[in-house]
Amino acid sequence: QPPRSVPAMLSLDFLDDVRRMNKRQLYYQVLNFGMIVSSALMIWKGLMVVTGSESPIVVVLSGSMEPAFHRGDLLFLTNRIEDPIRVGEIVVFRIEGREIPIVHRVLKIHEKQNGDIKFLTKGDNNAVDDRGLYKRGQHWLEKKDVVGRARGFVPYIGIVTILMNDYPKFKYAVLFLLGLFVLVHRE
Amino acid sequence: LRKNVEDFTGPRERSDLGFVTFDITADILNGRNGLRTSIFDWNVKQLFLYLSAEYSTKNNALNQVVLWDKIMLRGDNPRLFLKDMKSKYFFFDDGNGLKGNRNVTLTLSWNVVPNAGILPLVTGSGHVSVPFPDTYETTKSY
Repeated sequence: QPPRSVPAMLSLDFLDDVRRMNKRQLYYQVLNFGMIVSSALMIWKGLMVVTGSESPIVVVLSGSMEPAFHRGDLLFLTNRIEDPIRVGEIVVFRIEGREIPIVHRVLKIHEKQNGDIKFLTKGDNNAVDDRGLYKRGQHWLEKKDVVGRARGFVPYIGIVTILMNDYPKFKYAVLFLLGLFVLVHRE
Repeated sequence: LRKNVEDFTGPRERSDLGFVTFDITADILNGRNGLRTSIFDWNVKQLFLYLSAEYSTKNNALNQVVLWDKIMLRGDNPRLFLKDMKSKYFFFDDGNGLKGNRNVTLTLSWNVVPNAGILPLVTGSGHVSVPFPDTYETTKSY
């Protein structure tokens, strides 16, 4: 039989390690794991506060903003009330009743004296504006539909999220390996 | 950066529709630190240029409409020399605020798209005021 190339942690040594760990050490490792998860969540919540956006980092899902952004690019958003919405800005918005956020550019704005604003968007790579995408009877977007404005971006990195979405087995494998690594890793 | 325009307006049901033709002569430069260097440095992937009209009306304190846009890729000539351009998008007002409006300002701006990093919006220096006439055009040969 040809020898299988197996990662070190899945070899028999790993099983010995687990047997050697007594209950206390296991609880300790679980707590460690819990701390890492909590810290990550706190950082995410902190980002939400600082940027004013409920989703400070988003992944581009479609090609409607090419050649600027491609599927898998990561966008960093802010949604501060002090920053008014102006044409040319790249906004991430949600259409009422739909879950998926859309990343397009502001084409037209009409703002009243009291700050109420209605605006129209269009994807750079689309021939027409987004009116066809909005809800039936809806002609404009409003502040409440905005998740954030794109202030910075990093290419490619979001592909991992798209892969995890499209291939659930991949997601479970990644989570399983991560969990395993943290539990077994000796500090 | 200079623009010249002529204009007509046409009534459309309830909202004013403006027609603008324009010339654009521009040289896009990076004005940082007082130096005038090429805008396409190592981290600039493309520029998204847009010509927008800004004005006030009775209905709305601020209106901004993009009339024309263009994507300029790294390697393209940063000098623009366009004549007799028609607006790419319909210049509809939200109401009838274009008729007789003397204070419609056209500005050229651009969004710098880096290879990675911040996405700034820059407004070009130089803008043009377009006064709209008090009457509508009844016939249009477009």
